[in-house]
Amino acid sequence: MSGVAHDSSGRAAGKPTLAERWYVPAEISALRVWLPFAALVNVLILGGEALRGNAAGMSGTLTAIVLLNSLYVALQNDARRWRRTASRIFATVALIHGALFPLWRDISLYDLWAVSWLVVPAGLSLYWLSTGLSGAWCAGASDARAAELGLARNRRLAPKLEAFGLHVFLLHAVALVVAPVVWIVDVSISPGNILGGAIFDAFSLEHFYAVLGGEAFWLWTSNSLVVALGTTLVGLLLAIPAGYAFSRYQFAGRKGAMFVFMLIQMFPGIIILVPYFMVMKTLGLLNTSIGLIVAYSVTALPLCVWMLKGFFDAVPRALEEAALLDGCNRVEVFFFVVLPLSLPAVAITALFSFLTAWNEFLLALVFNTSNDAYTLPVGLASMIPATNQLWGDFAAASIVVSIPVVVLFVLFQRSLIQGMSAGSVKG
Amino acid sequence: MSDVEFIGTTKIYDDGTVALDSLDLTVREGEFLVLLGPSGCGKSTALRLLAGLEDISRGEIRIGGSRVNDLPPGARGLGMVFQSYALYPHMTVRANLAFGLRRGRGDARVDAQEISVRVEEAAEMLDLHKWLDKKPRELSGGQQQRVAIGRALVRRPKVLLMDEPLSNLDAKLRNRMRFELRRLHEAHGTTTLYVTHDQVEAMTLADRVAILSEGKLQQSSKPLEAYHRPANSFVASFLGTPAMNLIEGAAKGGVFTAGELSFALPEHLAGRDGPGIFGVRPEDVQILDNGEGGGSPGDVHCRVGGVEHLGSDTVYHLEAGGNWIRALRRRSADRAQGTDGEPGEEIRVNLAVPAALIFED
Repeated sequence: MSGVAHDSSGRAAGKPTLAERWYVPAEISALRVWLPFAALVNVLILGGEALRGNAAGMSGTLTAIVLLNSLYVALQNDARRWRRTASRIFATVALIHGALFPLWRDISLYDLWAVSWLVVPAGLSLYWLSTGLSGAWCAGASDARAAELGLARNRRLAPKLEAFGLHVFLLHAVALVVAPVVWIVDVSISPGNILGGAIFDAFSLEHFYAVLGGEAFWLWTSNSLVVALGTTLVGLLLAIPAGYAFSRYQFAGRKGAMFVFMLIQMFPGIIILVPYFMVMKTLGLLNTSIGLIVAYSVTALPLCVWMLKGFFDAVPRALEEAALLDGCNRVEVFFFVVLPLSLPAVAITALFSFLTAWNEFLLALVFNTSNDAYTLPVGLASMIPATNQLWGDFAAASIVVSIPVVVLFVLFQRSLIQGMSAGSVKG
Repeated sequence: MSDVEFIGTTKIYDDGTVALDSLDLTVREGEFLVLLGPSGCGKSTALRLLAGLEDISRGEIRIGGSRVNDLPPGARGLGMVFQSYALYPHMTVRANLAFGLRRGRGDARVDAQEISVRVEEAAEMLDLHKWLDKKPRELSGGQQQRVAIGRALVRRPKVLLMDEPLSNLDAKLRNRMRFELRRLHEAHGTTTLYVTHDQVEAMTLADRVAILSEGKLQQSSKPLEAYHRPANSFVASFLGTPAMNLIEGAAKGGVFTAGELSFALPEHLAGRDGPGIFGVRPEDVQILDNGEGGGSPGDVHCRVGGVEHLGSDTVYHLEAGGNWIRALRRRSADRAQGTDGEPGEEIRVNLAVPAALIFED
């Protein structure tokens, strides 16, 4: 800690150089970003503790928030010796608080995570304030030469710190997405009908046997398959020609129709539930797969048409003209040239239709009230009635139902990405 | 007989734009005709009407004497090379070449044996053997261009259409392909209609050039004839680099006057009277040495406004009585006369040369 020996008055001899004026150690800049973020996470944790009614946890977290904020405030502005001292005191207190906090309670994985949002920032602050260039800078001991060295060091260090912060953030995002899946998998392989409890503490396939062994599940699956595949087929048969026509032909009402398609997307499906029901009832399509196929195809159609139109727009007209000169008629042009080039878009549209139908709940619940006509989502819902909820079976069935979706996504991943970046595809 | 006749062919778009205004033009059998003009002049429209990609508003088009207005594009016996090449990206080069042959029906049916023979022929002719099993995107621009030409020729079209086929190539490749196109034409003698805005392509490729402006045919003649005897001031200004000097004014009694500038007309124009546009090509402008001789009536005193050294030539921008005159001098002549013509220098030129012209419009 050579920096302490210098006197800050030594700098007053000349004006500070450009490097001196600009130099803030990368660690300090990082802390200035991370500390408020850590405080924010602690606020969320505080909310969690409040929901759990955990008074000790609340007061502990509240203390953590205050400490992190104090630390943040102390690190602002120019390097001053008292700031450094104050910061180090705050950081030490925070560290001790964080270390002691878990001692008087059972710690779960969650608690460990929560407390790490105090301990890690405080520990990093204390460490950085005490060592190396940043320590010297905080002590107000840096001169022009040190500032230049520091700037060069920042260039190397800053990207690493940024990457670290980014990865912490991304890991949390991933955990947020994966957690429910882990949870449902845990429920599905836990024996008995337990919700919650420790993760992966026991293993049993009884729920899977129960679900896959029952007749009802297979009946629902076949219903769902018929409806989803039917919707896909009907949807494509309607959306492909419609998208092509919107893309290539000028006709009366073209703009209006495109606009109405967009407009329909604005309304939540529940608005058309009652009219749909009346139509289905009149046509005698309640409790049939055809009824659902019609309803789903129509619901998914606007988006499919828009997606396909966008893709067809990207197929150069010159290609079609070349095919015309090569002796194709309009229909042949479409099948030999346009369609093969648009397969990624067709794949994404098919997948979209399939998933819409596979996952839809509300219409299926209202239209198909007979047990034989249930689709999977409705069937699954029927497993958790007001009494006698079969959580384990339900979880196992959910996983089985998700498998086709996951498989489809993996299979079509390439096409999906291509399809979504439709505009960038060159002819 | 596979000559092409445009007879009063007119194209009016829905918004009222007249893209092509009653074009009368005949492309003779075996001829290489270039449609030349600035963008928006209707040259591409003429080609697309002939190809059947757009409907004819009025008039008709005949190929080999029979009206084709209402024939679908594929039935007109045409091959077309597109500016973007328009190769089918999902097919190999071989499949691209064979695609049109496979579509043949009725009389035009081609059996599989014949298809492969013709594809081989085309590959031979255009040196495409190495690429036959590649997809177009794996090929360079020049190679794609060859495939596009091959695809147009493999159907043995009565008429070959090309829409700015060289404009996507770099300058060096363009020069080579230009030469090859001419060579191909000489080998096959296919009637060819070629659209371009590039006068160099037009001059070098064409048996005959048809110059269009604003949907109207301005002149159709041999390229050199169009260069030396342009039908009007548009053709005069469009052909040639640097462009022809055009001075708007009036002729009277053997003297041409434009604002403050006035000079004697050459003998062959001395009889002209009334308003007109005096035209003389920069290379025809005679640059005279200062002080030498008493001067002839056609002399004009100018001030050098700028000089462009192009290596082989030097272009002088001269100001005379409010008019700008471009004069071009070969390098050898430059050296002989010793003067460089610095900007600001006074210089004398003679415009009354035998190649000078007067246009009425």
